[in-house]
Amino acid sequence: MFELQKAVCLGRRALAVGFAAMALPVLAFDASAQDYPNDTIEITVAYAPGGSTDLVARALADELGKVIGAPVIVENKPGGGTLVGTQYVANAKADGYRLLFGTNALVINSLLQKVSYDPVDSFADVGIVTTQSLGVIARPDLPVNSVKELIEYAKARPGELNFASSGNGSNQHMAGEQFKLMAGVDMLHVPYGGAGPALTDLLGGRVDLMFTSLYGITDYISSGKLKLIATTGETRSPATPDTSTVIEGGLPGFTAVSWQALFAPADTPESVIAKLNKALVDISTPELAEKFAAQGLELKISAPAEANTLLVNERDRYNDIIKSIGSK
Amino acid sequence: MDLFANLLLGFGEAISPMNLLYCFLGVLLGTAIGVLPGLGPLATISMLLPLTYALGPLPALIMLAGIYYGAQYGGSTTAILVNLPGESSSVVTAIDGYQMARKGRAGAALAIAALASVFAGTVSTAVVAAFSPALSEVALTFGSVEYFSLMVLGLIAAVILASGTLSKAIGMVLVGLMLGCIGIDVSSGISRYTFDVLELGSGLEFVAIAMGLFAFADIVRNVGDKADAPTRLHAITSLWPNRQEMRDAAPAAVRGTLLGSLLGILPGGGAAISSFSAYTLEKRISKRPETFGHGAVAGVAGPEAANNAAAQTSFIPMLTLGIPSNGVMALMMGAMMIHNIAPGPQVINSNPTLFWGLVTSMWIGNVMLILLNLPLVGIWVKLISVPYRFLYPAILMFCIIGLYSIQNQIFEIIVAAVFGAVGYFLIRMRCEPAPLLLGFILGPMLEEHLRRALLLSRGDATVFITHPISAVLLGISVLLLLTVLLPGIRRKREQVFAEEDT
Repeated sequence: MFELQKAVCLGRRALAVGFAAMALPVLAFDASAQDYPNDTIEITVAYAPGGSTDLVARALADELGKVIGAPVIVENKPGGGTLVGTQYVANAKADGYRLLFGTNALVINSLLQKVSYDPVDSFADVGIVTTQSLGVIARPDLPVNSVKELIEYAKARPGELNFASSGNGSNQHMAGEQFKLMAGVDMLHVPYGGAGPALTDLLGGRVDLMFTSLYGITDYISSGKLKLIATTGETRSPATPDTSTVIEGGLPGFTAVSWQALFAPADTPESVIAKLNKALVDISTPELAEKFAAQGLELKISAPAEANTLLVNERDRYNDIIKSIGSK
Repeated sequence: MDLFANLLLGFGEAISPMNLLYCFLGVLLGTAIGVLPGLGPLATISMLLPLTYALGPLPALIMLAGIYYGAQYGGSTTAILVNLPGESSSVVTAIDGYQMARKGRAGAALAIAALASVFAGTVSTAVVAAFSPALSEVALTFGSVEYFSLMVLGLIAAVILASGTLSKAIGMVLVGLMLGCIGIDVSSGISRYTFDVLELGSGLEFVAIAMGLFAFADIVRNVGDKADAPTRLHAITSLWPNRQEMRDAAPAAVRGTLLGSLLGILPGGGAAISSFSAYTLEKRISKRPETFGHGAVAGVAGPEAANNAAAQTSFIPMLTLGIPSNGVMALMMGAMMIHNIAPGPQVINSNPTLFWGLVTSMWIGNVMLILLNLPLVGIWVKLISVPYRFLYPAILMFCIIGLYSIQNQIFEIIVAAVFGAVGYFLIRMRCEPAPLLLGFILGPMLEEHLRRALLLSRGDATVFITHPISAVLLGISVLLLLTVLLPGIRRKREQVFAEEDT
């Protein structure tokens, strides 16, 4: 029995070593797109395995591998609040074999932390992959039912409302601060170590509000244990077509969307980027869209230029928010 | 009886050949990775998650759950045999389990750990089945105020954990608290003590510290000691626990099960402190507390039962609230989401076969674990009679592979090496590493909850005594402190240890 277990373990080790060897970069001096890709493409995820970004990256890698003609694998490089993985790709060889599956944190962290990359200049954008509106969620006994009522309620009670977030500098935190800034209200930010514990306190009625993904909490909303006030997209979310946006609720220009996008190191040949983007477009099937929709994500493949515009706009948006936090 | 109908439904699902097979694969794999140092259930489950896409949701969850509690179980094997706790829950098992092994009672320690675990697994499965909906409400009443008081209790327990002098134990806890401060602070988002080292941003890795302090330091010490005494330390007597050992273990296992079942329900650190709390409880109520740290049977049975029970009941918040209590549960939620099942209060009604099938499979898995592991006890025990010149390099090699696999970088190996040196120094200074580790685990949680509780109360510190649960926990803490600090008891305590040192 011991021998068997040992054999199983050794087998897995050998496999792992094999994968590691496959992932070693081949020094291709001719990075022309003719023979790209002729080696394993590695998508770096700056988070630990198992989170939403990791799961999406893995599904994406599977599909990309089918159309691009080379194995595509996911490499988790967590640590340093996404900085380890992000800087790893920013400094990687620009040959299209090391890519980054980045999120809002790519931009936010570059503004909050001391980083050695620039979110716009250090990367060649391959394309946006998914987007997701957040929901403005309140505890059910908070006597507001619309954005307008929420603003009035908060204005009458400066500093009394608490909004929870999954952490300092998270997209949820930024959305809340942006709401404060644009609505001109004062609320207290309460950071948690992840969305789970924050949600527990919202369900327990210890905090009042949260700007968070609707995924996994729709049952709480339909059963009345949480209240969905609005969604934060530019347009209504396809998952909740009956819920109005914050913009409709009287706060023009307010959007806070989480996104996931594929990046290559800057100076990656345009032909390689074009090939990767085409592969993204090719895998964008209704089946994949449905798979992502099940995780609350909207599959939204964009052109490289559009991803670049997004980054530039996001940097401006977050810059304003962070300045407003700092100026208090 | 609804419960019986439900359990019947669950068993009907769980004993299909397919599900039995995946259950077996899960616990087998779990035991294997538990025994291999460093490679924890989190890494394994995340590696296997993509493979479960092809399975149905129930076999996938059954297998992943099997890996999780199988690993809890396998982790204690290395803790007992070679003083190598693979994760936080087996740190306390290493204290007395390893001492038992050094006295030639390795077989007995392993058997007791196995029996206590399976007993706890059986009882806590029943708890999950019977009380899930009710208990999830309890979990919701725990806010930062309550968690803070729970952590205070845990830290005081850490001091009692040590068998050496009180001042050294307090010193170790404080060192642990300081180490826990390293990294990006949750409340402010500011990096502390990272010295611009990127890898320190998310803090030190628990497994690296534990391996360094326990396994590496112990190997260095043993190699050093062997120069003077080349005899085999672990002479093996009987493989099975004797009657006295069984008598000591049984009530401890019962208490550990109850404590573990309760703490496991709390999302956020409950499971992590279950084995520590059980150890403290056993030591407090024992008639011979002086035996703890020197091979006390109850010090193995209690914590082992507690960590296994907590592993099972930590499914409750995930299954009934959709809130993961630890990294493994987050992955399990991921596995459900892949199959279009949103974890949450509705799962029990909308997917009864999934819920009850999973619950009953846990019980089946526990039975499989004992069938798998009791015959293995004899083989494991032989393992430590392997000459050190083969055993130690092998342990070190597996540790290093495991450390690298945590985040695919060599940083963790360096951390473990540094703590190996620190650990050797501590052994020489007669300081015990367990309180340090508990301080390291609880420190960040303590701070986070204290700051959040005060943030939410707008700075009003009286919330800690006006909230009833918190007040009770603090009251117990004060009582515990008194029993440690009251001069009479203290004199006796020192006397006892003085006797033992001579």
